[in-house]
Amino acid sequence: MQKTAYGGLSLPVRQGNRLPAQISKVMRLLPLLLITALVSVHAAGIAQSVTLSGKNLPLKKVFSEIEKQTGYVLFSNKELLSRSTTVSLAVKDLPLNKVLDLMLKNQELDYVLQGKTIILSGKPPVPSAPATSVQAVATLISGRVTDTEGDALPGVSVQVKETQKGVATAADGSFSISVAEGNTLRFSFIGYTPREITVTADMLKEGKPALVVKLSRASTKLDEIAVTVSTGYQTISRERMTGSYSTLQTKRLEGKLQPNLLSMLEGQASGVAITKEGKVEVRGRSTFLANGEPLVVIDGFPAPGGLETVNIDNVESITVLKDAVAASIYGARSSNGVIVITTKTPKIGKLQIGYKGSTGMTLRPDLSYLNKTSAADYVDAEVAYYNSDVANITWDYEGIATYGRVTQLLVMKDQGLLTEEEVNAELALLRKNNTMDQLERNLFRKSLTQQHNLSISASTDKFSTNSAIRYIANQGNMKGNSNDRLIIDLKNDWKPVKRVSVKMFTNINFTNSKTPIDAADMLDFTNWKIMKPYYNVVDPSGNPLNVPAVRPDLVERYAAYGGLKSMDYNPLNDLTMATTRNQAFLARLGGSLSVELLDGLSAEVGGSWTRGSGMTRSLRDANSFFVRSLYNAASSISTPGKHYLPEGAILNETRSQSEAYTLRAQVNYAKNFNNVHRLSVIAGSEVNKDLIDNNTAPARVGYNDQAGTFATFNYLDFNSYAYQPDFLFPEGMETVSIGSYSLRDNRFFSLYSNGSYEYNNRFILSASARIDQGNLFGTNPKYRYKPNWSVGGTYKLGQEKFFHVPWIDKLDIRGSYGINGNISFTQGPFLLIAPGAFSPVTGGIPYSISSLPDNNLRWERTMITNIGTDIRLMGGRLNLTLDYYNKLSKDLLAPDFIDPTYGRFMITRNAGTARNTGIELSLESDVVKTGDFGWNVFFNGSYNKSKVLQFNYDYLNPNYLTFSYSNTILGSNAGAVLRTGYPLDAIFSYRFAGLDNTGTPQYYSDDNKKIYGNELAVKDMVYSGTARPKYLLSLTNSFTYKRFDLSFMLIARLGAVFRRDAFNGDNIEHKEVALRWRKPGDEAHTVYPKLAAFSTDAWYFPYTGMMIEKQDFMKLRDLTISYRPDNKLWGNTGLSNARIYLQGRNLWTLTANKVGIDPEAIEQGLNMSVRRTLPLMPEFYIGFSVNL
Amino acid sequence: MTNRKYLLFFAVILLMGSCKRFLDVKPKGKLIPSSVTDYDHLLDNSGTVELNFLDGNKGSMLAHLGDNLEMTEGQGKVGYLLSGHPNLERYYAYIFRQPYKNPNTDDQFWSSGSQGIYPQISYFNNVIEGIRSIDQKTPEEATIGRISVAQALVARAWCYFNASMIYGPVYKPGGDNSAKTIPYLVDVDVNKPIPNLSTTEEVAARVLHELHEALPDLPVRSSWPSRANKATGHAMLAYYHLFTRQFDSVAYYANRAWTAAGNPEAVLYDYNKFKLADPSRPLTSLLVSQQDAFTNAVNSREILFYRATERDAGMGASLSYPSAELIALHDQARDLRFSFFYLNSAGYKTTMGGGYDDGMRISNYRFRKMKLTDGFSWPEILLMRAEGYARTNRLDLAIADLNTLRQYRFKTGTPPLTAGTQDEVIRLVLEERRRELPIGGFKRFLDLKRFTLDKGKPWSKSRITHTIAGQTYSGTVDSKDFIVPISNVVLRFNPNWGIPLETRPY
Repeated sequence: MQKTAYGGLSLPVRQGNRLPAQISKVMRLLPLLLITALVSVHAAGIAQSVTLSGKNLPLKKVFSEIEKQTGYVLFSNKELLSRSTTVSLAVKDLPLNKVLDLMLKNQELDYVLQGKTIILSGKPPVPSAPATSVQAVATLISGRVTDTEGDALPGVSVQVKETQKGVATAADGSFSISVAEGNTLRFSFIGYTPREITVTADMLKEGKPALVVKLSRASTKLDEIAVTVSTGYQTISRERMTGSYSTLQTKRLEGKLQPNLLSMLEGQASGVAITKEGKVEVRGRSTFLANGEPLVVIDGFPAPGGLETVNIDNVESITVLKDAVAASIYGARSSNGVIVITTKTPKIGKLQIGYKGSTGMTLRPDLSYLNKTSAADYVDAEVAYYNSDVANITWDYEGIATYGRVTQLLVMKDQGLLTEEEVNAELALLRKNNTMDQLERNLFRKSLTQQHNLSISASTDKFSTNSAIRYIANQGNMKGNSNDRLIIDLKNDWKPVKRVSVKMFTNINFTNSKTPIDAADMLDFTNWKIMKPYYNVVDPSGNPLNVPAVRPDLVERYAAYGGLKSMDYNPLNDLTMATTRNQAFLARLGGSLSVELLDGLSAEVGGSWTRGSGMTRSLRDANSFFVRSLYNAASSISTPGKHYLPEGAILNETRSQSEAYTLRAQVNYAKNFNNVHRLSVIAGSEVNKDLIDNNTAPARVGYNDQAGTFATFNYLDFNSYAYQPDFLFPEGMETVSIGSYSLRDNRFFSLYSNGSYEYNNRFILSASARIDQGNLFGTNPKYRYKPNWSVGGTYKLGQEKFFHVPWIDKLDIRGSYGINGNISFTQGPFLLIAPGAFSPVTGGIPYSISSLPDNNLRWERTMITNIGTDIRLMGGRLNLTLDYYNKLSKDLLAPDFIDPTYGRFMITRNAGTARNTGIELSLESDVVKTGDFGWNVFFNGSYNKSKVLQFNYDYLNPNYLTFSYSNTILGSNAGAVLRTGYPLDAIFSYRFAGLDNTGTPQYYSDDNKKIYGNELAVKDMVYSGTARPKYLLSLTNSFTYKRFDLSFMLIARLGAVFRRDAFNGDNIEHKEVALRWRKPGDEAHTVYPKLAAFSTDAWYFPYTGMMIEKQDFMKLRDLTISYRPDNKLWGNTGLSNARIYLQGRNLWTLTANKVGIDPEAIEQGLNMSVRRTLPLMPEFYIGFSVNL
Repeated sequence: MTNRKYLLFFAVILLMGSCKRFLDVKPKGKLIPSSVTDYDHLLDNSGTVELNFLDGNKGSMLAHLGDNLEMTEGQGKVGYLLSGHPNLERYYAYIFRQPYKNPNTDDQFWSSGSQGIYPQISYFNNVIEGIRSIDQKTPEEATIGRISVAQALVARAWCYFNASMIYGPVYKPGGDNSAKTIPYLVDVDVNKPIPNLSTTEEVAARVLHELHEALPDLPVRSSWPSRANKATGHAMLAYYHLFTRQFDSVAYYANRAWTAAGNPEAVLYDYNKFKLADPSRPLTSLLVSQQDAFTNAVNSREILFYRATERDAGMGASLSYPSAELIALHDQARDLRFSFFYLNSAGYKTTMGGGYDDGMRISNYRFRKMKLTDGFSWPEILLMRAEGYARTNRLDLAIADLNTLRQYRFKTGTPPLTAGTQDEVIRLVLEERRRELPIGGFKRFLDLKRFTLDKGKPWSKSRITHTIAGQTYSGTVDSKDFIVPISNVVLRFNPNWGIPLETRPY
């Protein structure tokens, strides 16, 4: 189970009470024993008699032999065993109880047999000298000791403090002991929190029911002993880590229902942020252009499939490695932190079957949140829009098949086809419609999700296996939207011969998803899109209706041609006729063989191999509006009846394959010298290969999905617009995809080593180094062999003899420094060129220069200094971890501003520097812990401050500071940019100076003059804050009362700003269009500019300081109530540990902005203006888990 | 135990030994050009043919300096000013308000993102240098390589020659050509400094040299009009000599180019055979020709060398009209270019800024129906030959060429032109040239500049005057008014050029 021999060596040794060596040896095995013991093992068919002989055997050894022969396991605690002495025995086929009697004869120990468990307890001490002073009248009191769930606890030591008399409870938990009024009864039992009860007169009265004493588990301490940290390369006890990491505790994972792994991570580890885009960030952003996501390692190997491939109910632990010491072993990919996930390992014992399932629902989205214009306002705005630039819109109108009905009416009026009255009458009707409301009811729905997990595990000493199957089905909140996933995990461990162990694991993922292709268009009322908020999309009984989106003259032209498809457009029906389906399969296989060569020296070879394949099919049905439109448009004028597009569906299909493997050979050495010096070293090498091979086929036209047939087609002529002049509607021409291909073959070879030395259980020093070589980077020998490395140290101050603070159990001080790397695959020492799609302009495939050669490129480096402390206070009641870090990221790939005469305005060089500093605090406390009631508080807080120290791009155009042109070129992100001297993802704004009397926004220049948008320069902009929250806080409260558990998590993100959406002059779909400037004088009471079909107001106005809002928010992310029914309920069905869960998510939100925006539901896409996305709605889940 | 140790040792050695070969694999999915064909692909980059001397929305302030366009008050006050038009430089050019372009942002003619000539030149330089640096070439490869290099040289020469006279004064044969214009960059290494500015003289000399260097290797036919062929090389030389005013050379090279066309029908559309695809919609309808279906495509038979030109110039909704002078130059009854392209339609109209309505105006819709080029069209070759003949007093030949073209442009039955005096013939040729070439882009702009050397001739203008809202603005052709200054962005990188920064406000 544990890789190193020192897995659980971490019991705090109390000052001035250091134990003799032998005892600490026994203690070392205790955690193992305890874990084993805690799992009630029923090994059937094993004899209950014992054969044993030997001299001076340690008790522990005897018990392990007994366990082997009888299947009975020992349940004990360290204190008890520490009191034991060795025994000499020679028994043959003696019943167990006889053997135990013999063994414990001369020990201060007693035992009880319960089921297959031997429970060790202290012998009632021999009564000391008769009590002197007041001779209280002794009365016999009887009672029963149980756990919090009411199950009897046998072997509990019951002691009268005053008299030192004691007994142990019987198998049914009952006891009786003589006491006097005022005496204190002390109940103590291994693994449980001791309890003291003062005897009152009332308790001793005749006829009183027997006393019931409940003991609650001392869970914290037990966890502490067992916890190890897996770095993927090795498993180290928590006590011996010098680096900074966070481990998610299994018990916390089990206490809730988890919709997915990301939500499981959120709030559980300080310094780990889940961005609103669903990305994981560890300790801020430490790169500009390269990948910023942490490396995901599953069961020891980097997993290319990502976090979704993990079965969350089959996770044993998740560790986030945050600093250099923790992560530098991953070398060139560790700059962003590493998430190490280990899947469950079977517990020793019989076959175990578990089930956990849940079903949930998310409320139908509230579309009013999107702030879209009402039908009436939209009609008015569309009229004004038309009038603002009649000639252009009329020209535009000629070129598009569909146009808003309002514009159609206006054009027809201008052409004399309709009278003013006719137009006004129809406009009045359109004003009354409510498309948003109809869509909310008829297009959206509650989204439903269900998840099932079935796990089976079994283990013997030579073989253990764990398997889990998880099925997740989600039905999206928009009709026609669904996805499901099946995850199969299988893990086997063998120990074929002594000193050899073999592990194998398999993870298989199947996913399916379905999305309507035009889903996003349904709520997009931008003026060049088909949908408008004034169409009736359903009739009063909810049947989908056609909407008059197609220009009537085009319909007539097609009708006159004859034999063409209908141009009716029915948005709701049409949505289902164009669907993208995605199917993917991913298998990850891995294994390792480890051999113990010498005492402390072991060698290991292993690897993992991932193979994925996927298929994405976007099918537009022959009857979909898109296909009908293109078919009609592409009808030949010269040869009536000839169609340049064959009749049938259009299919776009991508088939993709991926493969990746990691092979590793590693030597581990660990040795303990005289219990004072402890050395542990690993060294190894790794090869890594990552391939993709994706083929997007040319679009199949004239496709028949029933038969799989398609038509021949001349892609070249069609896409070269050769047929267009003969098209019935040339403007309706759309090119069809000719497909694409993408390949990748990235390779790495790495050498690594790390080691730690511990002196006298107080000082730990660790160091690591790694060299990575890739097949793209680094021709310049200067940079070729630069290793990533780290050093770290821990000082266990709490272990010092001079340290006497009774309420501090542990006080460790850690420090580390090191260098982590990060890579980008987009540049290299070669000139790189890349093909595009066929160009009718050059009659060929255009190639572009994607990167200029540069042999000075190197991997990005992040130097992390970390100082931290781990403190445990008040008997484990309060655990606290505090870390300070300083991450200096250097040589970041960044645009270097060059003379544009070179043909480009910048080139990417290792020319960036950024710093992240921060403080992280993690705190856990059992605030209240009594028999029935427990209250646990878990807090994670982090503060991060970032600064761009070097970024050589000199912004020339103010738009580059607001639009996010390209995140791969300038590293800008959703309207937030990089600029020297400012935090990462800084937001810049213009200073608004009101509207002038034409409704045109004015701004203040840096010298406070009023200027127009065109005149704005970068120097006129002001810094408005950063899009990165400085504070990430989460607080989980868990309450236990009898069989009920309640927990809720509050999360908060503070210190960031965001830009809100606004009417900007031409986005008439925005509600605020109604508040716009209309006539001179309006500028006195509105800030929203004039409406113009053609204006650059929209380039500047939305980016004024007015639109900046505080991003701060707090959410009740989840609330879970669970109930554990009494095991007796199941009778002898074998079912146990059942749990019923009720969970709500996103139930309550508190935001700091004045405009009612949920900062998690607003976005600014690449080159797009700010918009609101569908709001996060409350989610409700009900779940059930049970073991067999 | 020892065995195990050896085994492990062996395994590690094996892993490390194979590492070299493992890493030597070229990264897949990334194309590192290594063959002639790889470099040749760069010449198919559409940016290298579409993004020259045009602004962001693909118009050109150069045409707005000239005499082909006219702007109304509404277009200027609302379309450009009140709307904060992104290409305000066109309006500023129209009213000769300097600086025309924002001096503190990237110049889109020069280099801005992938726009401008220098990004294109970096492609051509990479092709030339890349192919030349391949050591081992098979004879076939060497041949293809020479073609690609020659095509890149012509493409680069085209950029530099035009740029030199857009960023500097027109070439004055025998006169002072010492004005420093542009850096003649031929290197691909971005770590090497940008060379000093070349003079008009130096650019002219170098362009001539490189054209002659390329000429023998140019293919007789190229795959697409985006690439130069032999005729392009000759056309380029003819064009070059329009500016050196060696008109016999113009006639010679234009003749060699034109001869490659075979017969006129192969390279000219007969407008008499055009039909509107949808006569009910004359504005938007495309043209159908019996000759082929490529009238509106780059591989149109009339295009010899394709370089994108301004699209919407002279279209009312796009904020300009053809000038009255240009309209007056047309024989409205017989010139089919007029009847197909110059269409009366609703002009600019808006409720903004107090409201403007230009009413019905003639707009130019040629861009909608025909593919035009700022490179070389076959009609231009014919017209260059005609100009060469006319200027060297071979008037009959000149008139014959004009009549050849007019046969394809004017209604059948239109009487052919007859020769008059030399100046009359030159004027006829140049008027035909003005009607035939794109009204936007830089062709007319450069013609206006070179005609300043014909001082006193009817086609020569020293000043251009524009009127808007009753106010007139004028600019001198042979002066800074017709020169695009180098952006401050570039000047800041090159203080050694000694050009002061533009400090006037934009």
